[in-house]
Amino acid sequence: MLVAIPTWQGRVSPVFDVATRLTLMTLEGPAALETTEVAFTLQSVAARVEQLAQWKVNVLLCGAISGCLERLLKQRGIHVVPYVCGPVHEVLRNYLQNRLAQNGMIMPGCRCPDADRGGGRGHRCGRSRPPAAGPTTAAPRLAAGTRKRVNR
Amino acid sequence: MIGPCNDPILDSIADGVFTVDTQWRITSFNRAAEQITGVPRREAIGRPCCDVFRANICEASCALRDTLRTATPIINRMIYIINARGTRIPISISTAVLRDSAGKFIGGVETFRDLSVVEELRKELHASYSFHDIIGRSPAMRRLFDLLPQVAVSDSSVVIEGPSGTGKELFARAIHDLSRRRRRRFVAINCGALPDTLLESELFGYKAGAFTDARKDKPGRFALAEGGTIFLDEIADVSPAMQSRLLRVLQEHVYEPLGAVESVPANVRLVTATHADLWERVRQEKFREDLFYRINVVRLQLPALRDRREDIPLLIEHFVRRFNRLKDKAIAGVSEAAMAALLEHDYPGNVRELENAIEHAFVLCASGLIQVEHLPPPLRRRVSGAAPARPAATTLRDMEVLMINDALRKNHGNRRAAAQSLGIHPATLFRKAKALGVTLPPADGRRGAANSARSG
Repeated sequence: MLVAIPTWQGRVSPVFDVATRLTLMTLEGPAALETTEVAFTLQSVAARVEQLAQWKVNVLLCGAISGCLERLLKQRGIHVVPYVCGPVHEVLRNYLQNRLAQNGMIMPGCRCPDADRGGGRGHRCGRSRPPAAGPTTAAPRLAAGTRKRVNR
Repeated sequence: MIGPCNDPILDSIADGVFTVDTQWRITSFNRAAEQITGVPRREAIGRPCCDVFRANICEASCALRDTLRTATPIINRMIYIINARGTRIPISISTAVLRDSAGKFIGGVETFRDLSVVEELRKELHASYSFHDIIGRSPAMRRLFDLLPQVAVSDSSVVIEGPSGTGKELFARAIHDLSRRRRRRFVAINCGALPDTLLESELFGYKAGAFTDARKDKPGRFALAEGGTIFLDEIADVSPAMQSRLLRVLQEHVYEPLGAVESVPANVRLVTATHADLWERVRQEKFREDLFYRINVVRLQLPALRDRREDIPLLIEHFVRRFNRLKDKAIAGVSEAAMAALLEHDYPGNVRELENAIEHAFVLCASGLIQVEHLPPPLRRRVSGAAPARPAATTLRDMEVLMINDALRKNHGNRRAAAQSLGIHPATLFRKAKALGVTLPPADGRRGAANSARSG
C-alpha cells in the first residue's frame, strides 16, 4: 500500500491544495515501510489528482483539503483521510494504530470519523475503509540515498 | 506571555481576531474568528496557528511570519482559508507585531474579514456585464449579447464588422463556444497578414510534391477546423483569386489542397471579420458580390469604444484584475484623475489601446492606485490640455450630464451645434439641461463664432 502525506517542516502540510512536498511511504501490511520525499509543485487541482493517480497512491493523509479536490481524489479510488496534523511519522504511526483522534492528531474544529476507523462521530461521515493494497510498482523510483527506514 | 482571554470588546467586533505567541501557538481567539473558521475557541487555544487557520499562505508566505520578520504590518491581503467542510473561504487579513509594555516582542496579531458575500456579489455583478470574456453593459453591447446565442446555434456564416481592436475574434470565439460545433476546433487566421500564395497553402494545405520543399502532405486550416469553426480576419483584404476559391468552399463544401487531384469535403462554419465597409468594397468592385452575399448571412456590427464610453470603467477594472493576476501585483485600481483621463480619450485603437494603456501603467506603477503619470503620453497630454477632467459616470443621469457638458465645451457653448452633435433637437437640450441642473455657459458660441468670422 502506498501512503502519501503532504509535508512541511517535518509536519503534515496545513493545506493540501497548496502543499509543495510529499512524503511517500510504501507499507507492507501494518509494518515495514520505506519513505521518500518528492517535490509536488503542481498548481492545478486536476494535475495534482492525476499525479497521485499515476503514482498509484492508495491513501492520502493530509491537512485541510478543499471539497472538490477531495471528491476528485475519491473518484480516482484514492482514500483520503483529511484534517490530520502533527509530525509526519507520528501521524503515520497513529494512523496505523487507529489512534489519530485519540492522540490529538486531528485539526481543531474538525471531526474525521475515518481517522480512527470505527470510532468518531463527526459530520464528515460516510468514508469507506481504505482500499486493499494495490500494486506500487508505479510509485516514483527512490533515488539512491533517499531511502530510509522509519522506526515504528 | 499572552494568556488566553475572553475579551468582550474583541468578541463584539465582526472581524476575526487571533493572537499568537513566539512559538506560533494561538493565545486568543475571538467570537468572529470562531464563526468564520468554524473552530471553537477552546479547541483553538494552544494549537499551532496553521492547524487552526489553514490558509493557502501558511506554508509559502505566512503574513504573520513576514510581519514579525520585517516588523512591517500587512494590511488587507486577500487569501483563502479552508473550513472543516472543505469550503474555501475568501478573506482579507491584516497583521501586526505584539509587544509588551517594555517593548519586548511577545507575538503577533492577525485580524481577518470574511469576503464570501462580497465575492459572491462581485461574481454576480461580473456575470451580469460579461459574456464569454466580452465585457460591456452599454445598450449596444447588451443587444449583441442578446443576439449571440441565436446567431451561434443557427450555423450560418457570420460577418463581424468593427474597427480594429473592438474584439472581433472574441465574438467569433463566443459564437463557436455557444454553437453545436464547440467540441471541435476553432481555427483563426488573419488573411491580411499573409501573401496570397502563402494564404492558399495555409487555408487549404498542400500535397507532397506540389512545389519545391513540399516533401510531405500538410493539412490546411480548413482541415484542422473540420467539424468546427474557421475564423477569417480581414476578409476584405483577400485577392480576387482567393475570393473565388473561398466562394467554391462555401457553395460546394469542397476544396482542393495545392497539388491535389481530388476534392476534399469541408464541414466547417465560416466566421469572417473586417474593419472595412464590405459593401463599399463590393461597390468599388474590389470584393465579389456573390461571396459577399454568401458570407453575409448574419452581420454583427461592433461599436467603437468611444461610442460606448460607459463600458470604459468596467474594462479598466477587468484589465487591472487581469494584470494583477498575470504580473503578480496588487494594484488597487486607478485614481480619479487617471480615470478622468482614460474616459476622456478617443481610443482610435479601441479596447486594445485601453488594454495597452493599463499594461503600460502596470510597468510604471509599483503599488496603490494608477496615477495620470503612469499612463502613456497621449493620455497624459489630454489631461494637461484645456479639457476638464471627466469623472467616472455610473448612472444614466451622470452620463447625460457628462455628454451635455462635453458637447457644449466642444462646441464652445453653441447650444444648437451641441444639440446637433448629440443628435437631439435644441429644445430637448434646453429641457434636459434644466431637468438635470446643467448650467449652460454664459457666452453663446454663436456670438463668438460670428465675432471671429467678422474679425477673420
